[in-house]
Amino acid sequence: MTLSVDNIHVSFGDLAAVAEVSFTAAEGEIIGLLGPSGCGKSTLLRVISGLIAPDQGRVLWDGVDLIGAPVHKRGFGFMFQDGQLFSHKSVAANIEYGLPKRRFSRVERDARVAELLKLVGLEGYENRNVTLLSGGEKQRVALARALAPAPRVLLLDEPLSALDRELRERLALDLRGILRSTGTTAVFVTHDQDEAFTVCDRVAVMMGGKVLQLDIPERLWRRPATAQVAEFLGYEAVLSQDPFHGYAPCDFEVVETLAAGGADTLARQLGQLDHRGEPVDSSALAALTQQPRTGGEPEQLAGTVMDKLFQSGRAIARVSVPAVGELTAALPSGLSVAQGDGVRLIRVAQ
Amino acid sequence: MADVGQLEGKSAGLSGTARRSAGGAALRRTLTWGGAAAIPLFFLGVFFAWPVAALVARGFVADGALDLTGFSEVLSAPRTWRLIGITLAQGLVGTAVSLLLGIPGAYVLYRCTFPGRMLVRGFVTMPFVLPTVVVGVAFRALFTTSGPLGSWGLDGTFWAVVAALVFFNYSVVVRTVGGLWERVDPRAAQAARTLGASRARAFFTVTLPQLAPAVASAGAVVFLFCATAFGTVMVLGGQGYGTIETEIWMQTVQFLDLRAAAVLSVLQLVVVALSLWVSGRARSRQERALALAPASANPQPLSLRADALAIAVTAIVAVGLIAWPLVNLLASAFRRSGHWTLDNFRALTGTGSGNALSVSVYEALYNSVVIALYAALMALAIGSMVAFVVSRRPASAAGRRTLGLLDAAFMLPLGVSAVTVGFGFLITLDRPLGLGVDLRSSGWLVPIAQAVVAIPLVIRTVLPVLRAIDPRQREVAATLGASPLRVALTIDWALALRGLGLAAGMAFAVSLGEFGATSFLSRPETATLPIVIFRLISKPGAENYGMALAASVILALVSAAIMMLAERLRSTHAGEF
Amino acid sequence: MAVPSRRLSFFAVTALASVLALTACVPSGNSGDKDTPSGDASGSTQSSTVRVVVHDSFQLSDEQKASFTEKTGYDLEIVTNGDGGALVNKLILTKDSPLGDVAYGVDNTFASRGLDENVFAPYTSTVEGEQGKSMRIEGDDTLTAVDYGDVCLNIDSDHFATVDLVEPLEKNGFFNPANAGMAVVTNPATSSPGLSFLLATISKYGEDGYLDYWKQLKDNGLKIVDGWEDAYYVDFTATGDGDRPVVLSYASSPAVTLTEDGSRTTTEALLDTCFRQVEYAGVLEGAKNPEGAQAFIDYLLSDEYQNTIPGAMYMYPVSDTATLPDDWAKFAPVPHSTNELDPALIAKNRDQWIKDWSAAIIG
Repeated sequence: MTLSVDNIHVSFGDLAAVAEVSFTAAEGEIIGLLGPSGCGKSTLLRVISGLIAPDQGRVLWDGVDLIGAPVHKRGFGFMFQDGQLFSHKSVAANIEYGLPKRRFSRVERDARVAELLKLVGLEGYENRNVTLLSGGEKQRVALARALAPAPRVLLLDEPLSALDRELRERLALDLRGILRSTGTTAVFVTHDQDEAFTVCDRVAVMMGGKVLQLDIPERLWRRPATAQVAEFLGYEAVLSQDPFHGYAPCDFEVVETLAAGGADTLARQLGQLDHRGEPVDSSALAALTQQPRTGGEPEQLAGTVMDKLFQSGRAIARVSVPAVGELTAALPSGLSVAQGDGVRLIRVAQ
Repeated sequence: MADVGQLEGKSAGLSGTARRSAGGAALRRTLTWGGAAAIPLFFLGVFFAWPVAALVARGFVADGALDLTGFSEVLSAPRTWRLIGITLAQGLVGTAVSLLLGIPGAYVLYRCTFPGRMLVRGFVTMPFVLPTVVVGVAFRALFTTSGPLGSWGLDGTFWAVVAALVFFNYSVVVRTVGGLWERVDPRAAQAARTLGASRARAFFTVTLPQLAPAVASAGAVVFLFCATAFGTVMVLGGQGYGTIETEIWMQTVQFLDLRAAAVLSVLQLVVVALSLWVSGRARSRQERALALAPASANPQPLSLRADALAIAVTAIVAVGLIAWPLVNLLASAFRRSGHWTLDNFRALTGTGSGNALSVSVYEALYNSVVIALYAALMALAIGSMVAFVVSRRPASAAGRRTLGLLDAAFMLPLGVSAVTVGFGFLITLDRPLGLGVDLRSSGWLVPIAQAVVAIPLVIRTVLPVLRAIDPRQREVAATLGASPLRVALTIDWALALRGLGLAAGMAFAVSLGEFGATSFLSRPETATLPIVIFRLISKPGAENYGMALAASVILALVSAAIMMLAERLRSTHAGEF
Repeated sequence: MAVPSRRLSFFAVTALASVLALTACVPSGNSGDKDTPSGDASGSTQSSTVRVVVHDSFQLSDEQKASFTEKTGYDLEIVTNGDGGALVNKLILTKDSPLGDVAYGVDNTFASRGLDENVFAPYTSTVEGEQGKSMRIEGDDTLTAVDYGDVCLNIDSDHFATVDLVEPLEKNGFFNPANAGMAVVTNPATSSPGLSFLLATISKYGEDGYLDYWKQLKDNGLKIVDGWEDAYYVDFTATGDGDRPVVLSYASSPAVTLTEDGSRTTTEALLDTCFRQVEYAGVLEGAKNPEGAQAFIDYLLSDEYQNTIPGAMYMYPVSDTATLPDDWAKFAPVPHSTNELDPALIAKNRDQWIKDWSAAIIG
């Protein structure tokens, strides 16, 4: 029982919103669609759900083409960013909306509602007024509602992005747990890579309507297929694509400040600047840094501090690095730097 | 996991039905929407378009050949252009004044809270259902040379007509605009204030644009009412005053000059179509899903200081324009031969002096209520179907245009002369669609004719509510397995119910007060209250006149009560929103 | 917190229940039998029903209806269709598929139009009296006179009892135009009494002279309104709060403006200014039940019906043997002489006269 998306094309007027997208989700697999806003990920999700028809391509469930099947007959659940709870119905009535009376008895429905409320951690909320729930509670109810009919596939359109950060992180974990425990195949749309990596088994990075790369989170992070993907994932500099060599924020740490002019000297030594003092080509630098270093010595770079700031509980510096660009580097406590100081950086993360 | 598996068996049955071709889906969608539009269109076609077209066609056919000379003849007469001028002026000025006075009223009565608000709301809607003849007489009693306003010299002038039209239509503006205003999110205007906008600037630059769909909607309806007013114009207009509407009546009923009447009907349609086009443009420019808040979420107590202007305008209108004529009417209903008395009300159980009536006033009231109930039900059923179809937002421009036309088509009955429709009925409904049923004398024709007039009001009331529903609510319902029918019932219908309560009240009140078409169709035994009032007032005798006034008071009270009931119905549900 | 849908369904059930309750007694055309509205429509195909098309002033009590059915065996179905003018026009429009079997309420100012269009079928009732015969339209064998009335200027007697007139109220046997500032009349184009008064002036002053007379009226401040109720209840001093002691109304109107003790009337008709309206009934050409239609005309001429005409319709019965109510005999006598015009002449010129009048007087 797999979900396959085969060569989907959607255009709005002259704009190609989705182009040549294909992937397959195994049963119980959670696929992430990650990309900046306007990349076509939500459009793709709506195509899968049947809310819009593609210009071309197929959506297959278990080998059967669903294009042309109306939304309500696909058995695919959908969860919106803002939940879209029915404000004229109670919590229980929202959840049991997808449980038709002619197929489920009152007792079955009540039991299912209670079971789902327990699953999403809202036991006893049956008769609450949905307009009085908090943001997180609303999304939990929306999730319970979407799961109630036991959809073959659950499609989630940025379900966490309206929530505040702490709640988002907690709910992301809960969401994965719930999806795993119910064995639900899911397609999860988000623009937040942390969220995608937390929740999903595999993540597709979409840009300009195309899937640039689809892989498990770890490989995606290690080997972004293109500079575009790397940049979207947060790499600050990509020296070479094949083999991938790039730097993410705080891959480096400032280890010492240099005397005036020391930065240029060190940069020359490290091969960042050529003999004329011009920055070398980034691929040339990549070739240089990938040469085996003696004693597994970490990579080093020289640069100039542009600014220093404090983020997520630690001090960081923005450093202008010749031949690389601007990097974010960690500042160990006790090391005092000022704007314009030359610094030596060493790589702390692989 | 185990319990989920148990459910899976039930949902697995879906996959078989899911196998459909893309073409099939499009066809099915077209059929569904086409079907939903077909029933109302059929109704409109049989009970409006066909009769009107048939009568107009008679005017253009002479001795079996098409004869369009009527156009040059009528259009070259200076009188025709004077009539068109008066019609437009009357429509535009009446609408402008109604909006100007009605918008502050909407604010005070719907956006603010104060004790007795419901009563005032019910009170200002009373004029809407009063028979035009009675209102005309009540207004003339004020304006005539010996009346309290005689010195103003308004008797028989344009402004007397406008005053009466505003009297009738004030509540249309207040309700339509107020209904939206009480649910518009006030934070946008508050944001404007924090950006340094004065109250006035915040109103004109933020709130008014938010209200634009309702203002355009109300404006279109009021314009049609004003431009096609008949009874009021006849009584108050004075000699030499005439509009396209009164001229159609004159040419058809008095002279049976169908050629001239047909040309005038076409002119009237042009004016109506033009006004609908203008209002449609105004609405679509502003159209979007507004962030609506529950009505009870933004209570704002009326502030005597900050809201002074709105309060002053509303108070002057309520007292000077509405209460005065009504009180005058009420006082006269309690007087006979110069004495205060209850005789006029006592007499209502009878049939007037010398049996002026076939039924007593109370029987007529009963007839009115039953007929109006049928008319309101028909109007609700058909109007909400139309509103439902029109509230869709198809992706294609052609689809949107089609819906726009559909919307406009159902507004036409407000703008086409009751005489044209009534005479059209006579020549088409003897064998409707070739069936051997003479509908012309059927008891059903009265509620049907009233429903045709009430449908546009139902659409205008329900449509904004349906359009304000987030389309994703429907989408999420579909992904939960709800068929389009179930979506319509559990989402659109459930959410529109608050609008429907109000629409039901409107439709009922309009049917209750309808005179034009009813006077053509009703039978003596089933005479409605407005018909009975008209009959009483057209006969000499203090008793008949007094009874007519007393009956008008009863009609006004009944309709105000019904409107208030509809209002309550709505507010309870809105409260749960 | 109540779940809304429960309350909604409660409302729906209540509404449905009330609808059903009311459906059981929907007012339909016929009282008693076949009480569904659609049932009425098929009634016309049965020859046991007579469908009567009338103007909206027509009155027939339930007792009279029952009596008609008892005497003739026909059920009655009454269809109202506007005032006299509108009625004729409707009959003409629907002559290929008549609205009913018999029409009542066509008057002498409109009748000829219907005659020209052959709307009526020949019938002469055996119960027609002498007066009725004298009111037949010359050369016509289709229309039967049922009642008549006179449109005249009325005056507020109490008012004139207290005022010394500079000019006499009447001059040359008609209303003195010098006093037009005291009078209110109705527009001939929009009101049937108005048309009658116009015809009275044409009868009196001729086709060449009537507009001059009207111009004098206008120059002296005549007030013209669109509807009779407007003139009578707003502008007339005796019955409204108005300032016009002279009003266009009917010869019979003084019978209903009595003082409280009923000893005298407060208004009076100027009998020289009257124009007679005669109301006719006729069998419709193409009637499904012509025998029933004829029986109905006979019934209209019976004294059982004729005696109720003054009270119900403010007209005088055409029957030679009918009796007038006491108040009428005392306060609203039939004018002896009256202004008359040939119905054929009226039919030929009416529209032109109205248009000429409108152009000259209203502008």
